Amino acid sequence: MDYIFKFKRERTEGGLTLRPKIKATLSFKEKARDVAVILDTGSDLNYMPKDFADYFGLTFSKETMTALGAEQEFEYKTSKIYVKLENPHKSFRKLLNVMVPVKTAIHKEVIFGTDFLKNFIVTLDYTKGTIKLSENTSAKNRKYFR
Amino acid sequence: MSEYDFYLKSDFSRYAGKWVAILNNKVVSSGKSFKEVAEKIDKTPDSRKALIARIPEKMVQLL
Repeated sequence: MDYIFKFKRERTEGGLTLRPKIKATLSFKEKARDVAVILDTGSDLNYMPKDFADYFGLTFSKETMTALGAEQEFEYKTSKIYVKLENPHKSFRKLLNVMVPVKTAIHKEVIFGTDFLKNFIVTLDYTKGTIKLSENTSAKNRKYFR
Repeated sequence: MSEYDFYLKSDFSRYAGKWVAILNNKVVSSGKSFKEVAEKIDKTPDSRKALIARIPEKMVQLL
């Protein structure tokens, strides 16, 4: 089953750029919000700023870990939040692991990295401006994540 | 047009550096943090289908 999105065209000082931003519904307990989330194949985990976690009332891991983001180390805790993608015929719903910075927000947006993308065959077509997430249900294709 | 389609097609550069909530083809709330914007629209009827997005500054991004 495919979930189709489009690149968001955004202005930078260097001109227009295309960013892979999808619509995802994030939810926890009674709260749910549709959010524009950026996909990043270079991120190992999913990331969310702390005020997101505070809004949804997420609970954090006891341990504090260190990650490297854009050549800058930062401390984070982990949590879990539900994500839902929808198309006219089906929806994808999963409890997702997220990293939440303890102090300084190294990024300001929600980022879905490999930990999310491994559920799909991902097609980023910059010529057509489309993002296709095809649900990867084949156990054979999961061998890299065992 | 869905909130996501409106987000894709519109220029929100006047909100650079802010979070916005989009509902019924317009920005209904903006603020410096997601939590601020989400809590504002929690009080708005029909806000469940609003799309919340951060409008980036014009700097080139390196994630």
